[in-house]
Amino acid sequence: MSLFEGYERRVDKINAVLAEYGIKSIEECKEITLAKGIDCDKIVRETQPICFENAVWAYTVGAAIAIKKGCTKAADAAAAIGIGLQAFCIPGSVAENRKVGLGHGNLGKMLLSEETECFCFLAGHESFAAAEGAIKIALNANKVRVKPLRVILNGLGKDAAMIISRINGFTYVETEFDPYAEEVKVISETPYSNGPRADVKCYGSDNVPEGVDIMKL
Amino acid sequence: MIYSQEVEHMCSVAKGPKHGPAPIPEEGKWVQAKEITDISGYTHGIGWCAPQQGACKLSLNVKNGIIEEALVETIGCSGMTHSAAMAAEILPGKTVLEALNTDLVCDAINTAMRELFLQIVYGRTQSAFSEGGLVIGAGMEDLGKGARSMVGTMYGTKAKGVRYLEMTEGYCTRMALDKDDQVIGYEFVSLGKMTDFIKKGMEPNEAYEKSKGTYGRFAEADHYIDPRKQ
Repeated sequence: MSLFEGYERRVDKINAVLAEYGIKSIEECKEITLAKGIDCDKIVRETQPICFENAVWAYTVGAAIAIKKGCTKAADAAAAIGIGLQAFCIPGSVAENRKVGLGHGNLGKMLLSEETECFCFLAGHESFAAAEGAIKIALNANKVRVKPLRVILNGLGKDAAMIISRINGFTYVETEFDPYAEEVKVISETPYSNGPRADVKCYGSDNVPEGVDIMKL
Repeated sequence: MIYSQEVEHMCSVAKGPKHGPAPIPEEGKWVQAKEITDISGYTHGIGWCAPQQGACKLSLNVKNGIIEEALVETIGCSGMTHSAAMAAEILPGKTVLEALNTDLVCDAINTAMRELFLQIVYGRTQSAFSEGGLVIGAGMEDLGKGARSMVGTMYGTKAKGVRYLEMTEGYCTRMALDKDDQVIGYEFVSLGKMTDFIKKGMEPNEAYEKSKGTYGRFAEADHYIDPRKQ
């Protein structure tokens, strides 16, 4: 059994990237990360229990690159992890061409940097997956930030936003939109937990204009 | 309502026809449906998302325009199972008109709602000719014993042939092949039945054996294969 799906199509590109950082193999990345007490396998699976094997290995490779680069700041490490993710993008794929891996790393970097004040998920039908990501971000990003990051979920219908908040322990923010004046006002805020999950605010909107106005709140 | 000057200055031409809409069959009656409260019936709608990677079967029991019961079944995508969880809470209690402009958080479920609406308002329901309609609970009855969806999962390649993975009867444990390596039957375990046995305190192994069944000429096979491992 190969380490993950599509191993043969990916391994040459990954090894070429690893060589730039003096790493011999994907397996060696695991040793490098575990030696520093970072168990990527555990972290990735805790975040997304139904993840693919290649997600686990992509983050392992990224973390090993960050260690080899000597990153000591979380924001720098996030960008370096992106290099690992990019190495896993199959040559010629949309992910490869649009630099999805580097983009994810840089997104992480932005969230960990003080200049970024608010992170908004515009979640559609993958809203539970987005919620899982939002929880991890709310729990972890603030460990290294001075000013807490505001995390919001937007883009759901009002009923759905209420249910997602209730299930995940977010704060549901009920809004009312005046479509003639294009003004949105907050009616109520209901936190569904006491912990840091309640710092994630979830808004529901009836249409695109309301969603846009929520972004301006 | 505001009339334009042009219309206001027109003379009146009387409208002759004053029939309502053509009556549609609903729960054993012929109804001239004019308002959403005139709509009753139990029916299904099938929907899909734009990339067509997931599909939803939605079944609603509507009485006097209000959704009294909703069964949401999805296949093909992990995210839509969560959307279905929300839709099954959101839909009951809404009018069938209101449900159209409600975010059901999944393209496929929203599309199923639209298709179901068309079925029901045009009088093409399953309960069109059933006196009094179907009881609330008809959705659960549709699922049958063990309350699990009817799902078929089959896989095939040119090189290695067909594999039966999931049948209406349950999870396929073995396929029966004849001397020419052709399929002549299969063995399955009903996951709903097995879980019910275990919940009642039966040992898992006994429950597993008791929930097994076969189809076709299973006993006459030359050899058997595990469709997932062989």
